Amino acid sequence: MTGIYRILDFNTIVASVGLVMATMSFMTGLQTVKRDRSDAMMMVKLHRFDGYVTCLVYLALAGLSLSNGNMRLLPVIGWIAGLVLIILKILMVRNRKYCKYASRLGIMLFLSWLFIIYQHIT
Amino acid sequence: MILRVLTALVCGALLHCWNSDLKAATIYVSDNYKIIQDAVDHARSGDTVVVREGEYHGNIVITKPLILKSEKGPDKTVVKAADTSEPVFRVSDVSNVTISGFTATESSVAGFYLNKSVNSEISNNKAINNRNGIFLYSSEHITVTDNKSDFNNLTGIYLEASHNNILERNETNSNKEKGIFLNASNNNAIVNNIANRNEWNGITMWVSNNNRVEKNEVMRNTYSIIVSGSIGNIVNDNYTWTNLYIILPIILIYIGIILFFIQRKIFSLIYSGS
Repeated sequence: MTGIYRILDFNTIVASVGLVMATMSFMTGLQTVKRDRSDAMMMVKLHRFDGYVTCLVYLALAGLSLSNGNMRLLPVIGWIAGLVLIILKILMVRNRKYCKYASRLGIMLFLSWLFIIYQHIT
Repeated sequence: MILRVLTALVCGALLHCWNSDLKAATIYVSDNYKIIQDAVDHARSGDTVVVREGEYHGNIVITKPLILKSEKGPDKTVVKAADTSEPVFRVSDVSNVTISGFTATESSVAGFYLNKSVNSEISNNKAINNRNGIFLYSSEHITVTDNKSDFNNLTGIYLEASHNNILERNETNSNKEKGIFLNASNNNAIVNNIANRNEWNGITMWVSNNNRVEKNEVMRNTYSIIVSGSIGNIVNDNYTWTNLYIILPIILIYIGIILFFIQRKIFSLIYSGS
């Protein structure tokens, strides 16, 4: 039964919550282009909320992973790159000129969460 | 009278020297000797060599019974192979050797290599970036416990023609081929080990008979446990979960989608209510 306890490892659980939140954020992000303005506005608020929670989970997971993994160079670079991606996404969404590229960055963020969960499963 | 007292004193002194010769001594690296091999060479059978924290270069050869241990554990006592074509630690034709608390790295043979040795112990070590992490060749009654043998180019723990050994509570993860490999080795106990993320097999028994493989965790290997050309092995209570790393993300994405719909419903109810 050791395996089931290894799956219930705290980092794996946090990473799982992160992927669930990233999926929700991705879905709400897709719904923000709805024609119905009130619906779209609601989705923007949802997207903002989900994105904020996902970002917090990301930071928590980065802290946990780096503290467990003795701060090796490659993971540090990976986590910083992810953070840059998140910041870039927020800046793009807020900038009208580059807003159209936000969806691509959203997909990249979702894929990066898939990579994170792949790395964190035992 | 004076002569008698002097004789008694001399005899006493000689006896004291004789007794102190029989006691096992403790030698410190780098207090008494700067190099681990010098300390091992000058130690007598049964002595203890304690290595202070630091990074050392060398290929340590042990041919007498002794205890070689680090003061502060494997994370702070690293031994790199000076000659990469030799093992970092080689124990040859000897019994009653204990090696504990080292990180052995950068050997194209093995981190810890026991050749024709008996009744010895390898415990609480790390073997990283070697060809094999821990290699037992023609050795018997060896106890290998609480070691970490990760990221080696071939195998984490490799037993060849070695019998009656105990492998317990070791971790052999992310090795390029196999986690634990028994080749022509009989009557060994492989219990409570973890062999995850090895590129080939977790645990392999090849022409090895009457071994006991129990309560091991073998996850994310290409094959978990392989038994080939072997008879009389007991394989019990080992743990694996096939393709978990594919199944779990899919389940989580489904959960995410369901939660999205629930969240949207709740928000739309709130919005329509206001």
